[in-house]
Amino acid sequence: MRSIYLSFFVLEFKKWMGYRVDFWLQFVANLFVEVSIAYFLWDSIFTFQGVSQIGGFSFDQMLVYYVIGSFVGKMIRTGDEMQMSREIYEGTLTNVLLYPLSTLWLKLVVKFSYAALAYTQFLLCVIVLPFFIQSFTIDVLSLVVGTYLLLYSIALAYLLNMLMELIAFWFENVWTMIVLMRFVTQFLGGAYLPISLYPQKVQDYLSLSPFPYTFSTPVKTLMGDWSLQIFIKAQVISVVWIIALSLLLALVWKRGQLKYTGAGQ
Amino acid sequence: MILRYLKLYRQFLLFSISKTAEFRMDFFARIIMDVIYYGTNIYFFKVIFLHSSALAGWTESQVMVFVGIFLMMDGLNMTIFANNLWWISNLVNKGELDYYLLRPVSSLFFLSTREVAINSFINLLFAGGIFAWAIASYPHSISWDRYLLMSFLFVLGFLLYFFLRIIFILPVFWTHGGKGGELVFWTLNRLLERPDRIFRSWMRVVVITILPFGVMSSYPAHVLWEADVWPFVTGSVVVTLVFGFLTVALWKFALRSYSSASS
Repeated sequence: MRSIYLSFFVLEFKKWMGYRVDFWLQFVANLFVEVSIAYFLWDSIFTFQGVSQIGGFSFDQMLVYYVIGSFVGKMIRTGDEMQMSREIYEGTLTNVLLYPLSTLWLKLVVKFSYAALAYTQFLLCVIVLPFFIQSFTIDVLSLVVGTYLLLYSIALAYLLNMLMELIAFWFENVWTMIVLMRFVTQFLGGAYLPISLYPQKVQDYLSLSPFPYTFSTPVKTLMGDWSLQIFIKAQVISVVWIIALSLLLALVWKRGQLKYTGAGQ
Repeated sequence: MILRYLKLYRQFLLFSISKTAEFRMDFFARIIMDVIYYGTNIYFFKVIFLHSSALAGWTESQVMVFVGIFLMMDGLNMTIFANNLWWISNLVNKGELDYYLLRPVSSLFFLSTREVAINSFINLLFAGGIFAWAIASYPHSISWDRYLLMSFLFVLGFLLYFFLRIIFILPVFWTHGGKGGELVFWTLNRLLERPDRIFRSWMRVVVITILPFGVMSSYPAHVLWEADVWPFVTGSVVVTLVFGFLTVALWKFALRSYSSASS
């Protein structure tokens, strides 16, 4: 059974590799815009305030946060975010249900295959970027620990996104809900601003939610900003949320299948 | 001729209203989504101002006015163009543009305006409310002529946004796949959401000329309080005219490359 999932993983990975121009064009554009905006925004703020640190970040660290964040953002997003809902609406989910495999596990494998491609890009940049940005260096231990936490991030992002997609069993359009979840995850996860800049009370509440562990925690770990305590806390909270969201997903999936007719819209 | 197009748009509007009534869940979901989007944008700058007393020479109240302007621009775009422009690349790839090209009206007008997003219009009203709140919170008075100037530049910025979006869609006529450069456009759209003056040197030139996102929502804000408004007015007019002519020319050129499903 595991070899079937592995075969799917390899197949999907090769499929994503087929969209080379699109993939790299979007990635380069995204990286350029994200990092340019961050560079000029924070340069403006640091220069005006005349300080060396804001929210625990120096200017260089802020840039590295956004550079690594670009890659992590790509890893936690699925290559084709609307695939499940589209299959439900078109009735083509039937084909997937006929496989002798768990559909939800299959979709998770597909998500990891896309994340693996984005991670490969990240590794390339870890090798190349230090020649251009001196402050962009990642030590091996942080890379290993950060990669491990990324596994939890991808799983959490998958669960949150899939819960929105399965609403397609009941409602005619879920695009809005998926985009909404993306906003919320990015904003509360620290993709727009490092969470350490938020008011302390907000940070305390967020630390109990799954959102920081989808983005901010793995990014900061890869930057080397982590400790054993943070690592253990991230694991515990991530596992609790993964279990809770998985149970919810299983329930929604079960109910949704009862609603599904395969007729398409 | 203008009356003819207005009558046509009225029909689009009536059709859109009846269509909206069929998808009530999506209607409310879109409103909630945009309210949260507006909230996150306001909170983003509120957090920035916890750590800085100014951003690119603007105070917090000025930045909030800027936010109100770009949210209104987003609301207007979502109401009039967004739904329609999203489908252009699909129609081109499937060769189904013929239906629209055969109409005795401008194909660009027909394709861009045939559906009005009523739920986004509700969000446009919210965005207008945010702008009004920001203006009410602004500590200095603004004369009525500055509001008129801002409105004029807002319209130009909105048209410029449309032109740029069309230009990024056009590659689909030649690539015959994907969404052309549209996904790249959505990434670059982030430039619109930041005050233009945070950008310096070569980047400032880019966001004012080649990719004039910096003109769209920042320039209308500038004319509300800058002493000398004419650089912003002339800049907006020139850039909008240039991109307007370029868009129409490129659209006509792209249509020559179009091959329909029936050909």
